[in-house]
Amino acid sequence: MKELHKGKSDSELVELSKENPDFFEELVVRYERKLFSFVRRISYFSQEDIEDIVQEAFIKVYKSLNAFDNSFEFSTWIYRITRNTTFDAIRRKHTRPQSARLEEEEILKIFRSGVDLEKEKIVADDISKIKKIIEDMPIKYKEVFILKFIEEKSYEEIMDIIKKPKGTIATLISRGRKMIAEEMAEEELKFK
Amino acid sequence: MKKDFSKGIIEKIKENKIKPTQKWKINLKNNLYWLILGTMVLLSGAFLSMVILDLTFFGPETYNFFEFREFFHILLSAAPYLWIFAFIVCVVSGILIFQRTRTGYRYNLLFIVSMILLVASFLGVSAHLSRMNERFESGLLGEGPNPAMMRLKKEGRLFMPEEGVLVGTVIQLGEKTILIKDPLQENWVVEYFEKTKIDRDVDLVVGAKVIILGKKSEGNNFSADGIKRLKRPENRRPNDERMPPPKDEMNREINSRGNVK
Repeated sequence: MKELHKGKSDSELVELSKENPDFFEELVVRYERKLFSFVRRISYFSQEDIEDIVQEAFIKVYKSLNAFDNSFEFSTWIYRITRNTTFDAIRRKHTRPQSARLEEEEILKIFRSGVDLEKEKIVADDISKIKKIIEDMPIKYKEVFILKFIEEKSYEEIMDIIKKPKGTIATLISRGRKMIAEEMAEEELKFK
Repeated sequence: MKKDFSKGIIEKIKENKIKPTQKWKINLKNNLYWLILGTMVLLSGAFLSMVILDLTFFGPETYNFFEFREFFHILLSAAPYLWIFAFIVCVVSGILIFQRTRTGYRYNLLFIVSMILLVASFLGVSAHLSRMNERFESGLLGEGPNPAMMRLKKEGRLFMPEEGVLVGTVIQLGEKTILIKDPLQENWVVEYFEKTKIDRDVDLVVGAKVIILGKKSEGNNFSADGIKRLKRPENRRPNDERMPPPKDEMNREINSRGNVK
């Protein structure tokens, strides 16, 4: 069966999965790692909890296969369902998703994108301050930054994932950048 | 991540016999949103036409009879708040439902609001021009005096004798006086003069529904500065026999009816 999956597009696999769930396995394999990382970035859950969330998201995707519209990218659609499942889990646990577990490299990536720092050197002393700035950002800004600069999604894809108009996405990024710049000034961060 | 994570998911799907939701159920949900949205926009148009019906009643000439503050006060007192509220509720519901449609989130709020208002305005004005709003009003609120419905009706809202606005049905005509029955079934003697402005389309005959602008004197007496028709005249062909008579003919008709008590 595995050989049959090779070279098949996501949309073709969606059609095949409707008849036979074995085809769905390939879609799970293609996206499990990406979605696991995505949930980790936008939430603070433990590894086990994240696996449960991703599994729940895949089951929802399977149940909704008939709702998939070919005018969307499958990856966008599956990110949207995973994002909603994550936020549902956050709400169920009555906790705030503020302290997302971003890795140092990811934090620096967001920070550099946020303040347009390409080559400037960031010293070790600054990293904890930067970490605090990014971690303190409200989730609605941080989520867009994660999708744009870490998941490397386009504006259109982000629009379809978080179900907000394109203008709102641009506004969130611009405000997020402003927020980072203000925090930088407050923390007296200067780069050469 | 666990090994065989993907296999675990497929096993769960098979064990629990999970099936994709049937397409017709999904389509039903999507179509339901569009159906509700269409209904909300239609209702917005209908309620807007009711607002137009009530607000256009006060033409700019009405301003001549009152000071600005009085006129503004009357407008505020007689405003069709129920229809305005119903219109706003339908527009807001329409916006929220539009945003819940499959790609509704792609449009910004201003665009959605503008589109819904544009369509509702078109429907509202069309309903007003085709007089559907009058049929809607009488169908919804019923004809004749009904104290429970009076506040919702234009007659009830416009009945403000203390403010200089009297509404009612002509029950008797006399020389320079008319007797009218107000929406609360009380009689009023209305005196009018040479200077009283009588709208061209006022058919001053028994049974006519009129609005009198002027001043209340003692008891149920009222002196008229202007007389308007409460309902819009029916569509008429030129030279139709139902055209209102010229003013001198109208006065003759009133004189021939006898005095009011």
